[in-house]
Amino acid sequence: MSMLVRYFGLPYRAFPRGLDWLSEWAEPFFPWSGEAAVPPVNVYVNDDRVVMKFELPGIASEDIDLTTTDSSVTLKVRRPVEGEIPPEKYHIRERRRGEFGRSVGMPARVDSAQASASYRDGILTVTIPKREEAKSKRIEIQSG
Amino acid sequence: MDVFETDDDVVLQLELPGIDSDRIKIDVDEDVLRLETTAEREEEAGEAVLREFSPTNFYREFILSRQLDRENIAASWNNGVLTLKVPKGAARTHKIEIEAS
Repeated sequence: MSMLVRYFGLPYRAFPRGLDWLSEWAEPFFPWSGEAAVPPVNVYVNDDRVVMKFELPGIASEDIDLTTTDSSVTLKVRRPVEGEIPPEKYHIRERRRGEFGRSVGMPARVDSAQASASYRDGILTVTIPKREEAKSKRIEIQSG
Repeated sequence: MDVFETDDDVVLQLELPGIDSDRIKIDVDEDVLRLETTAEREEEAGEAVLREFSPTNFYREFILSRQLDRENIAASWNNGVLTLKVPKGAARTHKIEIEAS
């Protein structure tokens, strides 16, 4: 079964909430991985930045391939299988192996060239500052 | 979770991302190995527009066979994975030589 890899280089538009968001903006990048949403992600929007946290335990930094554009964050992850304990030695073998990944759409106008990422305790945190014009600004209400 | 054997140990590897390792409790009580983590309230990184995971409490019990050395379990924590190594060898099998007479 061949599947097209879909890109989410969408022009900025009003940001849908709820389940629409999930299906349109956060589909797995490798559809043939056969399941939804791997690795799981939380996406946060602040006044001045977007933060994405991916739940990604036990991966070596060199096996994480993270790229950002102004419209999406793409994460590809490998857990190599070579050099492992042979399968007959396993009593339980549940942890994900091989390649997996996803693309997540950007929920605000950002400057992806300024993105940064850190990986700690199995959580990959990606921080992307908003473009100046997209930052929240308080509007003073003039009275009188 | 993965559980496998090497020559020397039975090894358990549990994925517990985002947990503070101070909050992991490991107990051995007779034949039972207990693991527990209590999740703390996550500090919010902003207004969540998509949330696919949240901190959860984790509790698991394992029955240890008599042939494992429950006194010398080694635990290590790396990148959100807790690894427990339980040495084999509380009981050893003996080859019994049959002496020819």
